[in-house]
Amino acid sequence: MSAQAERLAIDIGGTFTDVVFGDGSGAISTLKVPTTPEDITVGILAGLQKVGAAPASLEAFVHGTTIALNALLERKTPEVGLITTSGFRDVLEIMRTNRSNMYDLQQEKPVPLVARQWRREIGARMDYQGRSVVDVDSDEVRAIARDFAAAGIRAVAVCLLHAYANAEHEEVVAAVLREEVPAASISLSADVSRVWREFERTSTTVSNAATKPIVSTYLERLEASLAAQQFAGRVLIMQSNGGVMSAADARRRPVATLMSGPVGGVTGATELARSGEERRSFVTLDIGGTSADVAIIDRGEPVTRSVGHIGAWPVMVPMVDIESIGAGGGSIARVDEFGGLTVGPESAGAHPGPACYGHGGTEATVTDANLVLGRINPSYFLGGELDLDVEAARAAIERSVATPYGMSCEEAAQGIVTVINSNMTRLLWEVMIGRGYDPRDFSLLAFGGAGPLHACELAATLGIREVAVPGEPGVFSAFGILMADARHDYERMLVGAGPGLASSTLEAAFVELEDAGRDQIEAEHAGYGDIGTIRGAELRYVGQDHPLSVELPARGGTGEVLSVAHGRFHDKHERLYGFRRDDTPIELVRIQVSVIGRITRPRLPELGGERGTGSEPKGARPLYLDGRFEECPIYDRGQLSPGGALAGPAVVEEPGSTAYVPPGFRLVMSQDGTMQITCPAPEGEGGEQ
Amino acid sequence: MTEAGMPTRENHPGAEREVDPVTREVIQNRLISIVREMSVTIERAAYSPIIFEVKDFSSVLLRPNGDVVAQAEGIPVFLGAMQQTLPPVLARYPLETMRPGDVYISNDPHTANGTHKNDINVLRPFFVDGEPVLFSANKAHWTDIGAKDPGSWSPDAANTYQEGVTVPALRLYRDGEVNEELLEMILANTRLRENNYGDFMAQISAAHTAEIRLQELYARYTPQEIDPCVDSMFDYIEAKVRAEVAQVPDGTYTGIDYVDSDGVTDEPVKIVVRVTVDGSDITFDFSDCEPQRWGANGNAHLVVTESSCRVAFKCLFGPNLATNQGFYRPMKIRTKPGTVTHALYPAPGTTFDNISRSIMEAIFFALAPVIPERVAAGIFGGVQAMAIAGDDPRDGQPYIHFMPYAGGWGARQIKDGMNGLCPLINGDNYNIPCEVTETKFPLLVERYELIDDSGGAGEHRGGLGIRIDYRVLSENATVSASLGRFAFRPPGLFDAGDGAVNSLLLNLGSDEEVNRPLVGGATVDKGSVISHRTGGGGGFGSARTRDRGRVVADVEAGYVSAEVAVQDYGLDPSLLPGEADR
Repeated sequence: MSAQAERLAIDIGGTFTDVVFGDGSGAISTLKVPTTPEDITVGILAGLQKVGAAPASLEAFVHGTTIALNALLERKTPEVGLITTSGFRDVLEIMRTNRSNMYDLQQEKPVPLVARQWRREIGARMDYQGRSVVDVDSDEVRAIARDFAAAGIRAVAVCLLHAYANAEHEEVVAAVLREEVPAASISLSADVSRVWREFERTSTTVSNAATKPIVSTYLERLEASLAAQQFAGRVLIMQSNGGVMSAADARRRPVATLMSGPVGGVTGATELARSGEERRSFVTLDIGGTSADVAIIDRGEPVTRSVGHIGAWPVMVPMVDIESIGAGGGSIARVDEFGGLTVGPESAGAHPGPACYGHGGTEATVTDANLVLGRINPSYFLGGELDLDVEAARAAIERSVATPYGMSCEEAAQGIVTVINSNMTRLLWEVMIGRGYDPRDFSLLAFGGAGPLHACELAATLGIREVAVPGEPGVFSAFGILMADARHDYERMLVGAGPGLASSTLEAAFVELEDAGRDQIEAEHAGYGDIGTIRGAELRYVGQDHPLSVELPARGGTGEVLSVAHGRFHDKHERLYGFRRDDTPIELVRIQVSVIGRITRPRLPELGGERGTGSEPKGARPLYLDGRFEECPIYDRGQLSPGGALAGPAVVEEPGSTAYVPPGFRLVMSQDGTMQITCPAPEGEGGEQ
Repeated sequence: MTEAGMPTRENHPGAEREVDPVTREVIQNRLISIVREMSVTIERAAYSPIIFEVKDFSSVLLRPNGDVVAQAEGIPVFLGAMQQTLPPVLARYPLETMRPGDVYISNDPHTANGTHKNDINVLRPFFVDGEPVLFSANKAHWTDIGAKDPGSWSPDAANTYQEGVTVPALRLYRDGEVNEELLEMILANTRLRENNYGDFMAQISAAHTAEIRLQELYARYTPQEIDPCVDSMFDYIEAKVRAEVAQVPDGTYTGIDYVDSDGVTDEPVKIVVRVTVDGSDITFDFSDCEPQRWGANGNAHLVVTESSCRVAFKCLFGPNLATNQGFYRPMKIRTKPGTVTHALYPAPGTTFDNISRSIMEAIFFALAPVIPERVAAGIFGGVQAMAIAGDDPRDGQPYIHFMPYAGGWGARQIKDGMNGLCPLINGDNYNIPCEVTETKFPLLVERYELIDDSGGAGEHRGGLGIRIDYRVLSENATVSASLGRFAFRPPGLFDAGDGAVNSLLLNLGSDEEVNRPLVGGATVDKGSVISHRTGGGGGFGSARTRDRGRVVADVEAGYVSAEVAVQDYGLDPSLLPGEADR
């Protein structure tokens, strides 16, 4: 693949479609066009033209899509038939029997994607070691296939007990189905999720079956539209694991795209974490209008998890571990009748939006509060595209919060920001400390329109020492999509082996997965020169229930694989739980292999000295600090040159975002265009009186 | 309706700002984060599925006077079952004798306000400037605590000594140093020493977590700042819950429910509650309950009755409110010592879940006529737990497969009951997946499905129970179980049908097939099948008034048979699926 490869990334949001174009020479251009919900491809093609990319010379078109996710959330999916093991058709409906809202007598259980009459059973049975106890009876499958065909069911999910240990029965069922109903679209559990826990695997397989026809139709339309523009490169689709997959693979496994919405930012952060000489650790904070997303990059690797949820339904595929709460610029502040102050999760969204937008919103929001405190420039929002109405913001805060409490408007605005910060602190706390990560080892990477406004105060509360704000934080997610590698994850259960597992057996299992992954990457992404692999394993002390996952050295690494795994497990256990049991036998539960086809990276732009004249403020305005307004410098990010430094209190403005630098914080502009903000010595809750 | 008891300060939010509402919100967030982190620590480091999957544990922060500052309960029945564990500790070890690094342990229902012997309490004081200001406390269910049967789950235990080792409120750590002899004494009296030790370490780890987080919190805020915020949090929650209670018409309402057996005799246990609502105050009076029994399935210790009332109270008046001391202020409980709802030494009570369920539902049934929109019809049962134990032929090691079981929920005023869901007493707890069961235990799961026709007929149908069949693959296995509602059906409300009963069939399909819903340590043969079947929920409203389209849909899906649709729902047979084509 040529070093000058042109690559175009598209991130489709509810309001805007973000476009990022890397021309291969180091220049990266970005823009936003309106999203066209009735036919998304219209907006995409508009963006393609506006950014000035010649479709014929594009090497790749990289695309984050939520089409499968939306179909599931809106339940606009075709009827699905399920074939499962005799005695287990209700697994999908029984779920895990838990009640997450423990005291609610009026709750409802969600309706399964497959109606009970279309959940059919066959007598074939595997045992837990993957040995066939009862073989597949083809006639039994044939009869079910005919019923499905007669009812017009074209999407079929097959999930048999212990198929993760041996997929043979599922494959036999698929062969019969194909014979009987050639038009059927078939999803096997062993293909989409090769992990135990029958409910989660069934839910994953059914979700895949339900979205396959939808994704296929969509990609056909997209590919046809692009071909009409003389595009001849690859169409690549973002996956929940932070890598891309081919369009053909996305048609087979749409379930892998379900959690890909907020993943672009994490991929971008990963890129930054690896860009220097030493791999860095970030906690990412992406704040938009309605939600705040948080993820962890641990020494250059995004932290992943093995299961996520679409509403109540689990999807058991490896994915970047992103947690969200309803906290953003549009979050609404209210005082209830008992005197409690809540901010979010309800949001004014983009329409009507915060009161200061002047689009009819009357509720006080976080953006209104930031405006009253002087942190947002009323005449430079979205680069001046939207004039903000300060009086409307004040009136909303007066009415909703200040008057009920007998506070001044500024005190109330400060209170709103403090409460939303406290909510986000709780999220960051649970993601970092709750999972055993020490905030002092991390930088907080803030992006999205509102991330840089809140980041410094959050960092100070958590004891994080540094905040980083990447270039163009408003379109950072699309930038991440542009930088995504091809990636496939594979898993195998080894729990049946017990503590007596031999190191050679383990090595052989890893090699088998790696070879399969390499073949798949080469087949789907021909020309990717550099293929890398990451090994991981889940282990636990014998008798313990919950395993911990550890990363292991790649093939040919130093040390015998099993003893390295044991050593890392003991260490991690001690770090997370405060104790280790060196004399207790360890059991390996499953192994994971990620195979990565590395793209030739579009070079990151560097800031030249000609960009600015140093670090002179562009002006000044009053910021509300410590109970009174104080005149503070305002900077234009575009005018800050590398090495330029400034000290808070200050605000740094750019078209898509605003950074607030509180008193005591110091900002330095780095060579790659990232703003590095150093926190003062750690203290308690930020922004507090 | 009266406004009695409404705190005046909170009636007008801006009237008197003693506490900054913003700081209060921030401190509340921190305290909740701390108890949640304690729970995450226990859950992840624990050895036993009953902790990790079933979430049979709870974490709480208490003031020295016992006030609940914040609680993360894994299961509802631990709601308000934690604060009572502190006074017995303080009775033996006065506050002024305590030192940083001390840890206290207990389980005894009779002297230490334990829930039952399996639930081990771990308490640790937290000091600021030499003063104990808070206690972290956590409770976790150990899979075995000794007792007469493996799993310590004996509905037929006749006294407290048959239920496991007794741990009064004792000091286990002094200045951070563990008393190895005491710990060994406790562990040596249990069957799963290693497992229990792992779970214990998880509990100690949680106490350690709380210590570190509290140090961070108190480094930022002084007790003089935190205390008024905590008081204000109590007042805030109290005001919210009082507003809900005040919506119930004043009066005294009586509810009755039955537990099928005390585990030893076949005499049903009658639970009677008189609920008095006076403005925003509510009293649950159990004075009319009968004398305590000498079977573990027939008693609740006072702490269990208190927590059961709190669960019912929370379900009705504040399912989504934070749980702190203020929440409990509007409610009072009256019991008579020596009765089944206040059993005294040496009464047994390990399988208290059936009485607990009965207490909660008697309260719902008492209030159903006046707040039908807030209640549910009869729920299938208590935790319906079963322990299968033996030696695993694969490695010769002992195993105990222990799990609570899900069933059908009662219908509501405008909704059907839910199918196959864990009982009221349990909460966010997960079944053990069949694939995990077969891998970890010498058991083959042959069937795991909903039981058709088990939901009570009604305008809104009761939820369906679940059947699970295990084929036992080890020699000399034993079964202990405490299924409730095997004789008394989960009642329907407002002219609806009752749900189906629960049953536990041993030796399924053989000449020796027998129904043993309450059983302690019965032997089962290798190759035999244990069939555990939970009941369905009661219906709500007359079945004849159910929407005909929904009756037909139920028949199509198989939830209701054609016969029941015609007989109980009065469906015109010509409307049955398939009939129209003929």
